[in-house]
Amino acid sequence: MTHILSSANLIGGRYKIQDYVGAGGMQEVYRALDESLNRIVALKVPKNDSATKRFQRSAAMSAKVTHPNVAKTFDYLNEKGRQYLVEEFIEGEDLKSRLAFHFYCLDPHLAAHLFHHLIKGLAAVHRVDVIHRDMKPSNIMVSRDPDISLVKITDCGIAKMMEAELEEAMKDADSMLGSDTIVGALPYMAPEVIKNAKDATPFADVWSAGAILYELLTGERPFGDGLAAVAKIVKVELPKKPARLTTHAQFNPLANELWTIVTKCLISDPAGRPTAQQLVEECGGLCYSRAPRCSGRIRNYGAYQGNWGFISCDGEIDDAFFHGNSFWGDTPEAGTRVSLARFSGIPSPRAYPVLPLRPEDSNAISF
Amino acid sequence: MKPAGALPFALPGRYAYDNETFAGGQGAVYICRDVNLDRRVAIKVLHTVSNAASLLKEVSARAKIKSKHVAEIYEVLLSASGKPFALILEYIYGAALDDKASIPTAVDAKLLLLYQLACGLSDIHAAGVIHRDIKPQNMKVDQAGILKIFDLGISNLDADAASTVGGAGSYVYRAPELYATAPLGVTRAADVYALGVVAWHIFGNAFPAPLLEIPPQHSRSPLPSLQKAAPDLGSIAALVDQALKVDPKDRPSAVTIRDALQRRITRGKQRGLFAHGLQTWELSTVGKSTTLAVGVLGTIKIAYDGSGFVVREVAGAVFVNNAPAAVNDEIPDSCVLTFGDLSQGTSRRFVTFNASQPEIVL
Repeated sequence: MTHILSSANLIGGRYKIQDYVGAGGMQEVYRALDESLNRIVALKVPKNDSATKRFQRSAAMSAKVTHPNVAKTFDYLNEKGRQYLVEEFIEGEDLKSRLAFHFYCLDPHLAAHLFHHLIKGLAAVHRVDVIHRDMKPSNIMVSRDPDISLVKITDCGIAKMMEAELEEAMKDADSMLGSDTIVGALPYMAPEVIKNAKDATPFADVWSAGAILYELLTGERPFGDGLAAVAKIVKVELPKKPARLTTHAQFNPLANELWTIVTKCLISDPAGRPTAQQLVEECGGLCYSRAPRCSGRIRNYGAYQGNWGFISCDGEIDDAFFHGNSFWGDTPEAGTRVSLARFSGIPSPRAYPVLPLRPEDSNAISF
Repeated sequence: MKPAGALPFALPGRYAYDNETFAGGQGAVYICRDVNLDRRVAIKVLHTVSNAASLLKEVSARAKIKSKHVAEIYEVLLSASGKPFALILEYIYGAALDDKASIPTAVDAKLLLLYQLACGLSDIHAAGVIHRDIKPQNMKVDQAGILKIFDLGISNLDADAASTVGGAGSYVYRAPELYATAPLGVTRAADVYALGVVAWHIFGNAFPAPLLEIPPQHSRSPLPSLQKAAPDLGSIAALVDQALKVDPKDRPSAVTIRDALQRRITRGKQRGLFAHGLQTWELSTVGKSTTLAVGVLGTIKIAYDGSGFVVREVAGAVFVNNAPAAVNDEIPDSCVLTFGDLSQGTSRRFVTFNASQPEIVL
């Protein structure tokens, strides 16, 4: 596959291209070394005509937002007829790939933490009168640690670039499903935006945030994918509350609070949804555990005639005890990779919460 | 701030001067518009070109620090001869913290401000950098509410700190050891001292006399505790007092101060959750307690004291993560309470406990 830039290209006399990182619907992303400030940056180049036309306006939109949970805009330049946007390089990967390759879903504590940071970032976007319009897991960068300590929204200016493509694509089902941008955005798209692409308000982003929170908690998209999702979203056929949210007593109060947030965000009438700032305040009152986590593997479960077992933890000598009730998944099985927080106990440390992870070798598939 | 006419240097075409200048010790800061990204930037120009090394030092210090509390550098401007003469910096709207009007009035908001400074200073120190000029003039709260520290102009790396005391610190914020005739060099503890003085700036109405002496506290008249100026601070006041100790070795690290502030800010806001089967009981009110009694096996009373969950009474055989429960023990944030000892076999009962708290997300 050929890319627009190749490594060792020097852009603007200071950005040395190191690597192709990936592409969204509208732009290619590279990792580059800013030789003048001696730091690694992300360099973005528009991919097609509609993106090129609005690229500078889109860059200026991104630059308006300054918040720790939003990728920083450093520079925009136009050299030999080609445009470049330089952003903070985020060490990590996007949430879509973390959900696809590392996690099945997140336990309520981790989901609350991630959503809290996400909604803080979104509130900062809205504060400067920017609508993101493409809030989806692939536009959210997260760190690779088990605590997901870092959460950053990217592509805040993408709305400007998407306008033309959206209007064109939303005319009929065929062109809609022919656009990568639309297909990726659909599961998170608010009903009013599906009906009329021009109707996006900040509340459309709030809807998307709610859909993302649902996916974090369950591992599934609330309305599914593709055209089937369109029909369900337009009718606002809310999924039923997943059983897991009520069967784990230790997680119940937090899981219920998060579920309430999901249902508030996924209200048909945009005016009936909370603002991002209201959600920030609500998240500020949520109690969740941020005890540091490690990863490990279930050594045994149920081996001693009870709903409990032991986890061997990476980098720790002693195994941790866990009870089945602390496991955020179906039945624990020996050999399953998990992440967990450890607490002091006799004779073994105690693990809570225990979150199943996908098998390690699935890391090999990446894009 | 003063209006100025033409700039005393040539500006690259993408920047347009906004007619606003701030004079500083080492040079001047000009406010400009970056036409490419349609945003304001600050251009910091030094008085003499020989200070190029200082600009590059600021650039390399900034590159090392990973922090949301340190302002960004966007570009280094070079003179015709190829020497760096100016930096293009992130512009932060609003007044610096030396303007008392920019200090919030509510204690919680003040604590959050000091917490952010402690976070920023921890990040700076973690990168092996010493700021050397921590003072309210060098920090602002941006429009998203994030405290940003700027002016790393005289910052230094830990490694070469000993050689360069000159110019470090500003009056009142300058640590006592920096006045010594044979100064030992600037260490992280000098930044921590400055943080302590900033705490007085935030919480007090006026600086106590010993802080205003030159060098500070040399008359040995006792420094009053910050507790006097701000009675609600509790242990935080004692920690600030400690940060202002004359001997740098007696001062806590920025990380210690940060973590204490974090605990203080979430104090009284935790939730303890007991679960047995699908039944749950919540304990989250300071001063309240929960008593769990399981027939003849045992009884335990656990109270929430605002910072943790503490055993108040025990009767019979009750274990916390298999260790016998004892009065005054703080129980772990995640544990199982077992009622009955091993001899009771299957008639033992188990109750899980999990504590959680709000996360401070800035």
